[in-house]
Order: sequence, then structure tokens, then C-alpha cells
Amino acid sequence: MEIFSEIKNNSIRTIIKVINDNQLKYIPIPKRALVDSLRGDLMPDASAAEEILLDKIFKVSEKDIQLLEPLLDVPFPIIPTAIENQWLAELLYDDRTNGLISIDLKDKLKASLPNKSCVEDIWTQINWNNIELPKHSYYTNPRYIETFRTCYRSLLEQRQVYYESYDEYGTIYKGTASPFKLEFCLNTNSFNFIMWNEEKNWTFKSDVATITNIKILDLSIPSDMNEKATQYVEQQKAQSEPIVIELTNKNDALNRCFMLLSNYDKKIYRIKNNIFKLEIAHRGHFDEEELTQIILSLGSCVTVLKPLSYREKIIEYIKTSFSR
Amino acid sequence: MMNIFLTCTFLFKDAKLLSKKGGTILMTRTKKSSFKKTTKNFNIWRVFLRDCFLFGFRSRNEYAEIDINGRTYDDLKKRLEICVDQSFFDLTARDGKLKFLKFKADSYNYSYNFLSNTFGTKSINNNFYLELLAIQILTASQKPLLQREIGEALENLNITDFYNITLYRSLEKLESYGWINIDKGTKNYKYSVVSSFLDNLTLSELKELYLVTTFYKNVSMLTLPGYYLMATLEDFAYNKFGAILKEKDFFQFRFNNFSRLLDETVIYIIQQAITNGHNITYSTKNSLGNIEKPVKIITKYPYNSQKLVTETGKELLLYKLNDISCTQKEILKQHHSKKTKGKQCLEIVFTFWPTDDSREVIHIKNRIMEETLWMTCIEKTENRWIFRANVKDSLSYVPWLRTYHKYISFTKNTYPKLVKKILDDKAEALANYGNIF
Repeated sequence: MEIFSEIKNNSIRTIIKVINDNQLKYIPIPKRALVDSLRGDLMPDASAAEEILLDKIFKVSEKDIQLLEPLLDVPFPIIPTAIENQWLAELLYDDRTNGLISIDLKDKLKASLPNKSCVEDIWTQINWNNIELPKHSYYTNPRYIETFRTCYRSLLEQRQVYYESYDEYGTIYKGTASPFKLEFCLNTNSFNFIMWNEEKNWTFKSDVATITNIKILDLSIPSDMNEKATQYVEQQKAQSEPIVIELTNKNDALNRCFMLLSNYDKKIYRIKNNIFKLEIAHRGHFDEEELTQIILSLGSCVTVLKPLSYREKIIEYIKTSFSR
Repeated sequence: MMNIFLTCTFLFKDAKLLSKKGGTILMTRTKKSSFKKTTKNFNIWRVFLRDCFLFGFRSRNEYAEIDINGRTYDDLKKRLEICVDQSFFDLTARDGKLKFLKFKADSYNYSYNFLSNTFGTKSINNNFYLELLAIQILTASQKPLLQREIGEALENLNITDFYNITLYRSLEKLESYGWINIDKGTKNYKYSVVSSFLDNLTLSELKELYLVTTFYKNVSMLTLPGYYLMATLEDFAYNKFGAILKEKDFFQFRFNNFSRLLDETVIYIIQQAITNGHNITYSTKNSLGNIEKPVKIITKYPYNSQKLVTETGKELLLYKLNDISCTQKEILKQHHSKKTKGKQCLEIVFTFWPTDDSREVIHIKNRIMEETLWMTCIEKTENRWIFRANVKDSLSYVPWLRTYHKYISFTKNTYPKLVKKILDDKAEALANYGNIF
């Protein structure tokens, strides 16, 4: 099977769904409605292959000749493909999922999918300084797994937590908070637990590895918490003046710059053939360090235009670099 | 006159009679639309999607720069609008005229990779119905069936316009999906539907599996099978338990470049080749029919760039490879890249002054400790850390080195070309700002 396969064609999936829905409840369907569900809004009609498929897979309903029903009164089996099974095997043998799936279920699935994934032998992930991403030993550490599972469960159950954690400066934090998100950083290969502080009305995050104590409380999160936390995060974007840079495409800088900024919303203007202006939307202190590293890494290919304070900061960084 | 009319009809394909005016018959050739919402080959689709997602600065005419003419652009854009919800992209106008197609990319808002929908556009052939009916026939049967018996079941449904070889190939396809077993033990093959591990899962286990799939699909080497499995689990849960599984919105990812998914037609073949010990053939913009033995796939963060390392030491960017397939053909000429040992000395000094912001220093030191594990620490005092490594290509470290700004410098042992490049670039950067270094 190829990964780009007919069996995953959108129309085929729709047809299979119609067949199986008919098994759950007999619902003959007008041909026009069936064609509409396949073609989408922008197509005049079904394609020739789709027409043949509909003619063969469906028949005119005995009860109403205006309607179609599946030719066979047999369900279409829902079975994972070989590619999906192979992928699932990769998941089961990846320690990063230890906190997300119970040991019992993992063992049960491994018994059904005995072939261990060989992806580890084939795929290497490196950081830009050319070392392999850290394979954190804590993914197999029972204490870490327990902490992680508690964070995860609090999200599933939507209940508040009592937490104790520390940051890299040695400051200790403790208190009650509502779980908001579980963030995974592909660059550092680590999880962050993002929580909402109701008193201070802000979100904050802790690397799961720095959480020393966490308990789920018998308190539901406030019903409007998710909305408030999402609004807070969006406000950071609205309140932060976009960073405007000029990019000169030399030494493949265009490709590197856009790959680095792929997760940011931005407006792009082509000034000349090889010179671009980018207005990068960001969320203030959430993104500033990451963006600063990106901009510095691109060297003379990038010039910050605005905001002026940020431009001055970058100039200072460059001026003082490699001079001690 | 009638004879002329008939002749005209035969001469003009798809001709349409417009009007009959004063004895003169006006006809026009109806144009068949070239647009197809599906495609056999992912190549051009992939180039277009990558450009839209990553860059999004080209107007319709400017797509000619990457060999996509206006007509092709129109078709690809229309296909995109059909398979990806329009909430995921913008069509912005500039200068009142030019329009630019751009995906929305904010990783805080989207953990679902909408590019996965573009893989639902593979063309189906006219005999595809045989696959769907064959598996239904096998599902209904209590025992394995011969191909002849499947053919008879189709005939009973008044489906007779197929060749045996076509049915045979359809059954082979079903086997390649992993959906049927073929018992080749006897002279005539017997076919049966496989049993699925999903049948042994409770609803609670299914929900647990679904959630971990929604996470893992964004961090695995191949992400698309995760999206496929998600859809399979959704359909299975609905059909068996009447349950609706829905992705939670509490997973968030950093440095998850969605366009990585577009390389997966290539990665999948490479994975097969490495697993089976085969070579690959591939083409690039400038050459066809290249053969290499693949060894490893490397994903480099924070760029999310992906490359293939071959046995001959080549490093090939995956997004540039097309028409890839496994082959057992041997490579005729082995041109091994020079396997030079790391000869370029990289000796970097991190210096911390009393006037530095103490919190910034702590943060930088933590970064250094994580990011220099591959180097040898040759000096470590409170205010000065020196690390050394011998590398093949010191210039490739330049982006990383720049991120340490004032804290980093070099010893005299460092490869001189590296030092010159960095300092020259620094001068150029400052000149761009109007400062003189």
C-alpha cells in the first residue's frame, strides 16, 4: 500500500460511511444528495470514476425508485491498514507516550502488534547544533510518569490541581491552578504543563520535569476558564506590536527563515526579487526568546525594522557578540 | 444540407448546436474542463502546497518561478479549496490587484495539520468498485472464499463487466492494505478478511488509544498514518458503540512545522527501502533515474528540515526528491563522498561578566549545558567556560553560535575561516543597521 492511496480518497471514505450508516439505520438517499456529498461545493458533478462507483456500489431502492441504497446489505469492515498498524507499533515503543497510555493497554496492543518499530534505527532528530535531541531518561522514570499522568488526568477530568514546582532560577512556586494545555516542544523533546491562575488572571507553564508535587483537587475548573485563558493568550498577540524584518535571500536564507517562522502568522511583502519584508505576529514574552534566537541565527540576512525598542536590542546583541 | 450538418457533427467533437439561423447552422465546440479534484501523482501538488504553506508570497503569475503556470495554479487552488476548509487559509489582495494564497500557521491555534486532508485526493480507477464489493462479499461470508466464488457472488449482483485478472489485482490491493489474508497454501488461493485488534477493545480503551493517537500523530516520523488511524478509530467507535470521538484541544506543539507532512510520500518509500535492504531511485529538478542506498533520515530542528543520508555519504533534502521508488537495481558507480574526519577545530569560550543580568546568565548557562553535551569541556570556572570539538563543517554551526550573542567568542585555535565568516557577517549586519563595526 502506498501512503498516498485510493483507499484514503475523500470520496471513498464518504461512500464507506454511507454504507455503514445504512447498517445502523436504513436511510436510502437521493442520488443527487449522494453526488453532492462526493463532489463538494466547487465541483459541477461527480467525476467519471465516481459515477461508475456509485452505479456499482448502490442500487435503486425497492421502496422508492427516487432513492438509492447500498447494493449489498453488508457492513464495510473498519480495519486499520497495514500502514496504520506499523505506525501504532512505533507509538507503543516510544517512551514519550508512557504517560499517555496505561501499561495494561500498551501490553494488550503490543500483543496484537508484535512487530517492534524500527523507526529508531532509521530516524534521527537533531538540534541545530548537530547533536541528537536528548532522549530524556525521565520518560521511563516512574516518578515522572506519575506526575505526567496526574497533569494529563486533570485535563481529561477538567479539575483543578494543587502544584509545587521550581524554575531554572531556583524559585519555588506552589498553589492552586486550573489545567489548560499540555505542550510538547519538538526542539527540546520535552513536555510543558500550562495552567491558568485564576487570581492573577494569567497562564503560566512548567516543564513537567520540574513539577515536584501535583494533586488533583475535588474542584472543577470554572466553566469560563478555557475561554478566559484562550482570550488571555490571544490578547498577548493583539497587544504585541508585530516584529517587522527585512529579509535578503542569500545563502538559502529564504528557505531557512520561512522554515523557522513556519508556526507564526505573518504578512509577507516582496520588495524586490530577493528582498522581502515580513510582519510577524507574536505573543510577547511567550515568543520573544524564540524569535530573538531565530533572528540572531540568520545573521546579516535579516534586519529588524520595528518595533524600535526591539531593533535597538538586536543591534546591541550583534554589536557585543563575539567580542569578549 | 442535412448531409453537411451530419458531416459537421462528426468533424467537431463535443460539438453543441447553438442555433439554426437562416439556414446556417452555428456550432461551437464545448470545452471540457481540465480541472480534476484528484490526482495520480502527488509531485506538483506537493510543490504547490509547500510553497503556499511556507512562503505564501507568490501571486498567481509568480508561481511560474517554481514551474507552475497560471492554469495549473488555478486547478491546484481549486483543489485546495475543495479539500481543505477555507478557515485555514487566506486569499489576500495587495496593491488592489495581486492576490496571494497563504495558509494560517499559528501553532497556538492549530494542532490539527490540515495539510493531511490533501492526501485524500488520490485518483481512483474505474475498477475500484471491485475492491469495495469484494471485501463486503468476504465480510458476509462465513468462510474463506476462492476468487472464483467471489466472482460468482459479483455475477449474482449483475456485475459482470470485469476481467478475472482485474479482480485478482483488486484482491491483491486489499491484501496490501492489510485487510484480507490470502491463503496461498493450496493451488487456488483462498481469501478472508483479517481480524482486527480493535474488536477486542472496550470503548474506554478505544478512547484512551484515540487520545494518545491525537498527540503522537504530530511527533512521529510519519505523521499521516496517525491521521488515518484517528479517522479509523472515529469510524469504528461510531459503528460499534455509537460513540463520537473528538480530538481534544488541550494538546499544543512548538516547532511543529506542518509542511513536514508533505515529504511523507518520500519518507515512506525510504523507510521501506531501509527496512528491506533495497536501494531507491529518485529524480530531482535537474536529474532523473538516480539510484542510492538510503541509510538514515534526519530531521533537523528548529528548522524541521528533513534530509536523507545515503551509503555514499550524500545528504539529500527530502523536499527536492520526486518520483521515488524502491529498487533492487544496483548502483553502477559508487561515488563515496570524502569521509573526512572532523578536522576543523571549534573552540568556543563563554564568558560571564559581573555586569551581566544574573537571570539571563543562569538561563544561558542552562542552555549551554544542554546544548554542548557533544563537546569536550576544557575549562569551567565561574566566569569562563571553554568547549572544544573537531567538526567536519564548522560553518554549519554558525546559526547556532550567533544565538549566544555577547556571551560567546573563540579561542585562537578555532578554525580561522569560521571566525572570519562570523566577524565579516557581523560587520555586514551592523552596516545594514547603519552602524559601523
